[in-house]
Amino acid sequence: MSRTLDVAVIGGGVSGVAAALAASGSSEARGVGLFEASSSLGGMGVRAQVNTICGLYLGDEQPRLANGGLCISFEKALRAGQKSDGLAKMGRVWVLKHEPAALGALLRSGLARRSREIDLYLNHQVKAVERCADGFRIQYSNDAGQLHTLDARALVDCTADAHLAPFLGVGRERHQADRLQRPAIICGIRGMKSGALTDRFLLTLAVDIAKSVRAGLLSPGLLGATFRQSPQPGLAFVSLDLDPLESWEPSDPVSVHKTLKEGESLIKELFGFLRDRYDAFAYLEEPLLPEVLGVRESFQWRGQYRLSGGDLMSNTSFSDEIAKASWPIELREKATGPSFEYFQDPCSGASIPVRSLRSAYFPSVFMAGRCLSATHRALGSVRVMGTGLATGQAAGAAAALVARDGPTAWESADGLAEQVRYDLKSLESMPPFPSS
Amino acid sequence: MDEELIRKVRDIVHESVLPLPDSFHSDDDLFHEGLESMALMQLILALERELHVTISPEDLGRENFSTLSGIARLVSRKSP
Repeated sequence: MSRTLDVAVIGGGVSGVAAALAASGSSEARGVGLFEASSSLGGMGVRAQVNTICGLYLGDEQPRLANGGLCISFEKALRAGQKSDGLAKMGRVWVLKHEPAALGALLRSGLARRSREIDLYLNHQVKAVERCADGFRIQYSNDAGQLHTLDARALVDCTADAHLAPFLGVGRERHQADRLQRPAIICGIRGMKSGALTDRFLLTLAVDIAKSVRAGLLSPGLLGATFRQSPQPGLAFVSLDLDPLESWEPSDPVSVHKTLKEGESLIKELFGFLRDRYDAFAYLEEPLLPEVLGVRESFQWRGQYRLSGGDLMSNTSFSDEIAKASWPIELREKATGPSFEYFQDPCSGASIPVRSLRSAYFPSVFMAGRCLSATHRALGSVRVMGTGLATGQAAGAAAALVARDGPTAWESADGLAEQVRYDLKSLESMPPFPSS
Repeated sequence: MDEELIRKVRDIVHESVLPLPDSFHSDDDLFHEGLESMALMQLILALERELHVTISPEDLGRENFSTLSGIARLVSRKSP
């Protein structure tokens, strides 16, 4: 006899953690499970060392949080826990820089405070999902490879690649794009002289690298290396968008592994160049390599509504809004750098409807983060971590309601969204993230 | 200020690194518009290639690179 959870969340990135916390925070939650295949929480923000959280703020002169609920205590705790404030303006928009290990620790502490309501399954891989009388039966393996099953009334897919869709016999989608977005390798830099990364020095580095590439002294793949100081003293990051091979397929582990290895060898070359050339880098330690490649593409569920780039650009308002997107449509397809399209009214953010977080096939399946229902262009905006946190909490709260009352009670998107907004608001008075 | 040169710089920026809206003024901030170091590397190479100047690290600094007119001023100082 399997145990029955109210909500099973699959994928422990920021959106999955937010989904589990929000699902457990709603009244009468009878149990939430969070499954993560690796040993760490935080997804790309930890394992790929993506060290800036985009999409947390609205693009005002003064930054203002785009979303409420858990986002409030999350942002406050992350900022308070860092040695220096990570708030920074990149182009027209605000970001929060973070140290990946600190993000992982914060997410873990948030879950620990809800350990009575949330079972955390790290190193556990979901192997199959099928429908059963109570909802869904999940088969998963633990770190020793043993198989177990659990039932859940509602599911939240936060796997970035809509992993659960094929298990349930429905297709996942990746929307047509002329070109796929380039993946990135992000590495930590330690052992440089403190205070070395001034704006001016960064410009000098950019010119030196460009000229050395042109002179044939550095691989062309290093054009575009971007350096960023971390809020953690003595730590910086270099991020490099990669040009993968023709056969690049972001969902194929072999293709991803090959691309990561190519990235690593470029980074090692760059470190050699930096050590030889600059006093500030003379004693550089070996690069802090990421566990995984920074992948910007993903597969999506077919939702009840597919969010489009046009919806975001024109700040279309949905009556079933449950989150706000605030990051511009950022596409990194070309070697000449990213392109940004800003919303018509960047100050008010753009509406995300609950229908784009709900499966078109199963009313008790929700999705958040990168696998929500959106076009390729819209994903250029909503794929970022700040928005992932917001869609995660909304999907978790919605799944908890459906688990409690059954899907037919929440058939209406407007009704569901209204209750989700209410539940997220009430989460603000019992924040899972520590306030000091 | 040489309007012709500013127009050329604008075209180079627009075509090689950062699509600029029509409303973008020659004194508006390029970094604010989203110019980042990846694009900056490409921009420097494109300026050298198209306008036959050599830009050295000493020429850098936000004052020279943050606006189209700043880049044009730098280029005209560097032109033979």
